[in-house]
Amino acid sequence: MNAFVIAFNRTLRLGWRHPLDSLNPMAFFIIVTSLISLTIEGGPAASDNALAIAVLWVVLLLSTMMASGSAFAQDFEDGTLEQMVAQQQSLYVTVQGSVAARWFISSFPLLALVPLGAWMLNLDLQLWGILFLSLIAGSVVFTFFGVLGATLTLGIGRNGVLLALLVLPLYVPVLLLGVGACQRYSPEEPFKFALIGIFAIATAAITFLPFAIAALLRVSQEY
Amino acid sequence: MLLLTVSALLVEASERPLLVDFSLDVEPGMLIEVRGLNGAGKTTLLRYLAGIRRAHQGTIDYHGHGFAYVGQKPGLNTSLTVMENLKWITQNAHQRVAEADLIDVLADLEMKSRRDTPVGSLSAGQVRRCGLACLRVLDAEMWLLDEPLTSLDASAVDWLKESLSAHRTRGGAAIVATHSTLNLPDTRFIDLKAP
Repeated sequence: MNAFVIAFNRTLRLGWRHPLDSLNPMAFFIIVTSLISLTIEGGPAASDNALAIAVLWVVLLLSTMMASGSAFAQDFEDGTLEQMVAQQQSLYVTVQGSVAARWFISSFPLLALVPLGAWMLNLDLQLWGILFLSLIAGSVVFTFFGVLGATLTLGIGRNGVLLALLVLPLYVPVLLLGVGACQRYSPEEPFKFALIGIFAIATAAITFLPFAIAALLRVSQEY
Repeated sequence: MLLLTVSALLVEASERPLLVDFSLDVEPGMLIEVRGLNGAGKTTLLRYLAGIRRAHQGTIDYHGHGFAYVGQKPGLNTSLTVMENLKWITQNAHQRVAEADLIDVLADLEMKSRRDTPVGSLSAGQVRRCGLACLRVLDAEMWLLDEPLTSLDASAVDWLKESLSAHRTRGGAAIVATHSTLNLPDTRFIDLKAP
């Protein structure tokens, strides 16, 4: 079995043992989206597409950040990370496997809730496809950035505020690009620069961020 | 033939040198106890030898089948069962071990009945036993043990001593950082002085 599969299976199993780690961000997503749809003046019917897209992107961003904050924290505490660093020459593939599983556990259920959110915010049906497509790429980037931030703050208890300060500046360009891709969507030219850009960033994140995360995991064991 | 060669290693803690020009050759059958007061650098030295901390000066070369490291932290996930943890330990070390062999090791440690229990539900001593099980599970010629006697009862201490003796007979070697000596024959001691 290769390191990717081992890390993926292990993280998936741990996610299964801690269902609240996935359920809490989902509950947050539903609560925030439904409250916003209730409080829009004139009811959900008055919600315009631009607002609905912005709300769904921001709520997905915050939910993903919530779910990624604890990445590798338990491994750090119980010495499992120490064993990984001791036995593995490179943690690159292990990190990829672990983050992929984390995306599957936390972002995949959130993406499944996007149609519900789009319906609650009265988003035009023709925008659902582009929104979903861009959110898939966006959620991958958010998960990697979230894990990067969590790794930077390993060993610091109650890292929530610091984590937000570290990763929010990284999230903003992706957020603007993603929201822009949806808001400027036209059926005649569906794949504009913004959408291609966000998929390019997701590919770069999958390829390069595991190097940074793996290096940070090693550094966390130096002290 | 040597199992481990350490040459001119600089051991630091918080950028403070604890050991300068530390060299060591480990031959098959050797048992080395690292002794010293708190803060002398026993754990730090073992973490360097296990590659957890990177050596900036000096070299550490393993010539055999690698090593098994048991640190002060158990290295077991509390949400996973004993068996799941042992399987992960072997996978993490890129080794394939049959489930029956894992069960045999747990039986030796009187932990067979707890194999499907989450590690978080075990006592400190039982967790320590499971951590030590990796020594028998992994095919490693060098054992690096950091305070292995902590939380162990008399029967587990006997198991560890027997395992160490059998390991040495098979041509393996061990470096043990400890405050309480294992009282095994032909032990070499390294005494570290607090800086």
